[in-house]
Amino acid sequence: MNLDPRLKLILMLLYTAAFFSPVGVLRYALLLLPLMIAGFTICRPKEFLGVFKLILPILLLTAIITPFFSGILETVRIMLRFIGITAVFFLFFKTTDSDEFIQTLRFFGMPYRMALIISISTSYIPLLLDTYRDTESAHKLRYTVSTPAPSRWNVIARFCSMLPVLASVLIQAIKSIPILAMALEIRGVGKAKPTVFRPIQCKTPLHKQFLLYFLPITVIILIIVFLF
Amino acid sequence: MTSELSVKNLSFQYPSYPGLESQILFTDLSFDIEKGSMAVFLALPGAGKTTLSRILTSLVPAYTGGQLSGEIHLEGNTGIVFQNPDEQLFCSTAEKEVVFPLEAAGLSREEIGRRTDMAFQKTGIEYLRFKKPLHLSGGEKRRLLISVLCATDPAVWILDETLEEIDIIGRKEILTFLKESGKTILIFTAKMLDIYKSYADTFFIYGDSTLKQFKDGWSQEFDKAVKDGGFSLEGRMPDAAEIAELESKTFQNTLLNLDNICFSYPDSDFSLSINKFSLTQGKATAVIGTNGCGKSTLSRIIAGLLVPKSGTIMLNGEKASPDTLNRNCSYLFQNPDYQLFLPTARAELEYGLKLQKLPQEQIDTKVNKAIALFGIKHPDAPPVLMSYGQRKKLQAAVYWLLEKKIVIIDEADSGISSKEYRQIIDAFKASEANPAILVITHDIQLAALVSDNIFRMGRL
Repeated sequence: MNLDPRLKLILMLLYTAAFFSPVGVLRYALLLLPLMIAGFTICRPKEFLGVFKLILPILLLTAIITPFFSGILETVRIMLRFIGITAVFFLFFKTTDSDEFIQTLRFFGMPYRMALIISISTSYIPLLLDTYRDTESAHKLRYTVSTPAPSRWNVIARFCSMLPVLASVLIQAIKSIPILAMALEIRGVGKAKPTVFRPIQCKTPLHKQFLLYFLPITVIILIIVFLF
Repeated sequence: MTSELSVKNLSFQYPSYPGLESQILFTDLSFDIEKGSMAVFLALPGAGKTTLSRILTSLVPAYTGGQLSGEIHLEGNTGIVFQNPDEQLFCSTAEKEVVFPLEAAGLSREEIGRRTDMAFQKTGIEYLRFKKPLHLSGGEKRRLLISVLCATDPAVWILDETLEEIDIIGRKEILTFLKESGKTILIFTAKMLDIYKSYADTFFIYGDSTLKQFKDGWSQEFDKAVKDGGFSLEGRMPDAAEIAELESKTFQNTLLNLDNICFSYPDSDFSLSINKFSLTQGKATAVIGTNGCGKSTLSRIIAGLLVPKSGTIMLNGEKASPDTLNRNCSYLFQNPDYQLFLPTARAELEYGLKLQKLPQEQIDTKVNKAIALFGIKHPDAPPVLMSYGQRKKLQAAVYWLLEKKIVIIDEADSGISSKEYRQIIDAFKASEANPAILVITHDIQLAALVSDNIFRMGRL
């Protein structure tokens, strides 16, 4: 299903709001269910699960600390909230490219430059992930046969071995700021009123998408949050 | 003929940083480029080619700081392809890269469509149109950026070391297209590729603050200046029989063997299939092939960074795990920044040795030797402020110190001169570790010069 990005954006915000609503664990799980189905349908399982691997430290920290202050149920609720919001944002950006995102933001009245900044910032997240993976690969090669490997179970040593990678990624990210500005300038950003080559196009007309997908999903979310 | 680009008395100096005293890059630099001509500007790495290319596109000193004086007269605007294409690509598909500046210029949808079709057609990369720029090979990324120039159609096209990583067929296609476009082209390079002789009208050789101009293409005097300046490889181009002999050469007692390797990337139609491939200790193998044929993928499999779907990798007669391959392979990446993170070049060199827990005295001796051998000019400067070529040399020095069994040099000649590139390969050859060396290149002359055998991939 190629849902219109404008509808997807509203759904994303609605879902995010729902995950902040003061409802119980069961309702959070119900909200999460369609996201999981969508995630495993759209992506390879490894890719989808890999997203949650990234927030694993936050989840572990929550699982360790929160029960002492707020109890088990609240801990599960917070963890489901993290998982839910991550899934919502991942699915939105997985299925919406930067060009569609700019057009969506501009449709809702955002100025071109602001939309461009937000779009580039969000598209830099996967780019940074790729940079992280490449950098991690490069750092692996600085070990030799005589370099002692950090123990698999020594969390501190493993964390310390990540620091060089993070430092390299940070340096590259900072270095890329003026270079990206140069790249944008030589592409003529800000010199004229921009046009759109490929406006948002979906096979199913917008009104049909609204009735077939947007409205039922919205109603389901509202029912889960406010009813029974 | 009238001048499209005229530079008069240009002087420039970057700001100084702690540990890196800035030097004057240009003093009273003057030159003219005629309208519709193709000029090749030869200068050694670190001489300021990238800086000059960015001064001509008004990016330096606006984004970098520095003192600039002199005059630049331009009939129209300039467009540029950066030395490192990754710095210039930020859209989700190749088509959007081309379309982006046209949209930003406020062109109509019809005009954008016409120009985009024309750009992809003329640069011969229609097949890449809906691919992600991040997934393209180095050469393909450069071709994509040339199609951006083609679509935006600036008066002066500036190519900063663009053709080095494009395969031989691609170079010819692109230079033919550039020549026929009738545009004013300025190519910055550290290597005098033979193919330039057939296309360029003017050559500039810059070194020691002096600019020499050679009009009307090739001449004996120019040839001598190229050789003296270290802009070309010594030796002659090998003939077909010599290449065939190198391709058929095999060695006994191989160190690494790949058998029936199959690999494919998720979300990509690219797949790699290698029946047999081997590396031998103390021997250099060159891998040649067109852009996008999988040379870098093969290297990453050998280094244990990618795991093939099927097939076996044997190291020293034993099945090798990715971790074993990681620890036995050095890999000079196209992008040296992946590995650099410490505050000084010296600290970078020491890092791998410290991980091996060697005594400091031994580390100092080895590091000083590496600094001298690889010509690291500012060992106490932050690597992040060093030139691209210096960072590449630093990366090579880091691996040289690790003394691994296999060294992979993946098109690492961008940003360094032919002479320096050979010096790097020779340094690894002379290393005490006596490694098996894998050189990935488009340059048949280089392949024949430095390697003991050649492995060919894809069409050439």
